[in-house]
Amino acid sequence: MVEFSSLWAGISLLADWQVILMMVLGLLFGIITGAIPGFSTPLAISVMLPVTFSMEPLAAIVFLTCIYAGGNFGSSISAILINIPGSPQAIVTGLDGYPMTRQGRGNEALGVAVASSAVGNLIGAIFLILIMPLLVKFALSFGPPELFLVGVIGLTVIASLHKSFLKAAIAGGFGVLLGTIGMTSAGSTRGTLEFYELLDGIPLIPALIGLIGFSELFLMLQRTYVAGSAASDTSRGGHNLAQLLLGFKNTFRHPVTLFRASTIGVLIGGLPGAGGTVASVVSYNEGRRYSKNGANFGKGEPEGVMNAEAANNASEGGALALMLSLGIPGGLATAVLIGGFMLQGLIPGPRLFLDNPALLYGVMSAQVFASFMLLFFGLLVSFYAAKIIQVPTVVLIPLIALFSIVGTYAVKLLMFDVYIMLVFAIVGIVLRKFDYPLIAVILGLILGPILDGQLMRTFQGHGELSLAIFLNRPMSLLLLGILALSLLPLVMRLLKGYLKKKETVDG
Amino acid sequence: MGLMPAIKKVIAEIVVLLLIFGYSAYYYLEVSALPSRTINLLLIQPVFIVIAISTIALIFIKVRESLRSSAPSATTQVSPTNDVVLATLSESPDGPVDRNFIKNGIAFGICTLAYVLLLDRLGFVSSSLLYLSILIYLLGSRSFWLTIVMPAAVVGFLYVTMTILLKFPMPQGMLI
Repeated sequence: MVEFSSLWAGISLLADWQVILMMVLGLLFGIITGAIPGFSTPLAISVMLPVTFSMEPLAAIVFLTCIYAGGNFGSSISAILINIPGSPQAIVTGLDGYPMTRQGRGNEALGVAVASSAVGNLIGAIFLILIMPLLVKFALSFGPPELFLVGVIGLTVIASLHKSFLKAAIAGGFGVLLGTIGMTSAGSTRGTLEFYELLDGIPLIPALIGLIGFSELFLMLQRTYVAGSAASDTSRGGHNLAQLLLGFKNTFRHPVTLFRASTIGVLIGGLPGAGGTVASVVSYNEGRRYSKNGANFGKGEPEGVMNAEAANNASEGGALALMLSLGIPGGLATAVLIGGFMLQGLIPGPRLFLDNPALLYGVMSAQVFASFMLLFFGLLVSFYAAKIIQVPTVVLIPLIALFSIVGTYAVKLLMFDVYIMLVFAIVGIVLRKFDYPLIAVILGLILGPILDGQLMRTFQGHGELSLAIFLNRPMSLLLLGILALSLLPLVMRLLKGYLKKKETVDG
Repeated sequence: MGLMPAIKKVIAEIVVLLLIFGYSAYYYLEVSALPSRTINLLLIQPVFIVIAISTIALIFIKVRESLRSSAPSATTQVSPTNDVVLATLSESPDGPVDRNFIKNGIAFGICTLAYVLLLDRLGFVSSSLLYLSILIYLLGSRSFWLTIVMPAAVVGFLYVTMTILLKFPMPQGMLI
């Protein structure tokens, strides 16, 4: 049940001009960077991560979550206007958004995207506020064996949803090993290569900035529209405010579509490794099935944009619920957000909710207010969108690189952290190039010490380690069942492949 | 995809796999040699086993795939859909490697490495200014504003914010 006193205390914390300013700046930064092709939401959050070091905890976290919300919408701008999504989650938005631009209805599509994104974000935020106390209550009943299993489930779901289970398993295992580097509770040091700076483990912030942010700069170099000039032809969209408002207004005539898409977004957003992209694909397909205009999907149908955008933005609520209640990042953006919490000395998980209920309710309530702000700032930025996506991107890469290096250094004033960041950037580039899921490595890196600690506690509590320990605890048994279920997509895929092969041989 | 690029890709995949496996094996052996072996290996051992099994399985799959992809070349000689098959095979799924990307990637890598190494030797302001100006120039901009004025403004802004306002001691070297 929602604790209304804590909720009210959280809302009261938001009545501070610094927090409100950070919300506005976060949203604007998120929308603008999101609109720039190649400037993904996780990259935008990672660039700003060190900036939050000197802020108050609420202002810092709200700033980062607003970048997340803004980025989710912003990436649809370039998908609609030039058919190049700012981030992968907007790929589906472009399926109908770009045809609308070609029909001279680009601004109408942007209006639809703003309204659907705001509604999706709002439904996601309300879900977050309602579900969090239940999730936390559930998580608090966990002992060391259950906490260990939760971490394993997180890694298994990511591996199971990835197109190569084996690569994801290797990436997750590699991340876990990296996460256990440092001094152990038995007093030994593991894998520090005699660097005393690694005794406390691999510094997470530089590793995240390197893996997520810096390695992405190489991807940006690969895209000609980043290193060259953006060949955007936005004239077909027109610059008509009336058209923008028309799309905006018409969206609210489809409450069922918005609600269905947002619900799909929230549920899929809560799955580790799935995120906004999968949410928008599923929602789009479901939307096409239910809509009267299903046949027009892909030809410039506003409902297509609605389905994609509402789901994409609502997925943030599900991802935040998972991250805040269990400390498991569902995607790259929430992984960097965990770094933001850690910079403030806060560890996401059920204890955080008990120790700082007002702070967490403040963060969650800020998402509700951010949804309303998104309506205004989304329209504002959309109106000037054509100019934003024509930023000379050749300048962006050096600037982001400089901010990442300076930011990494500024957190602890250590050049060692900068070297670590570069090492992880190289690791990130190689892993991306060979299609290893980065999120699995990052989840392993974050969960490594937790898994190690919980397994050790389980061992110490029972004097041994066996499957019987897990089977004799009802909650562990339930989690083992979920673990088995999480392998279902993999089993289905293997079965489908086998049947297809058999069919070919028989045929 | 042509035959040689396909084999090269498989070899590169296997090299990356072996690098990850090599590091994991080194780490596992290092931890095995520590006192309190059982406790230290509680998590490391099963994770290492997962990595080892997955690596072997993936190498097997990659080698099998590369052998299969080389097999159709003999049959395509008589296939009525020869052109289509060849067209499909010659197309790299990763797309052609852009020469500009290689040039830009090398420039970016070298400049960044040099910047990080020179940061505490030359000083924050001078090394950052050089980094931004040279990199923007190498990435293709010839505009005076973008290569000189903008970097000076950004570095000046960062210096004022970090050193003067926030009192963060940025690296200082021979210059500033």
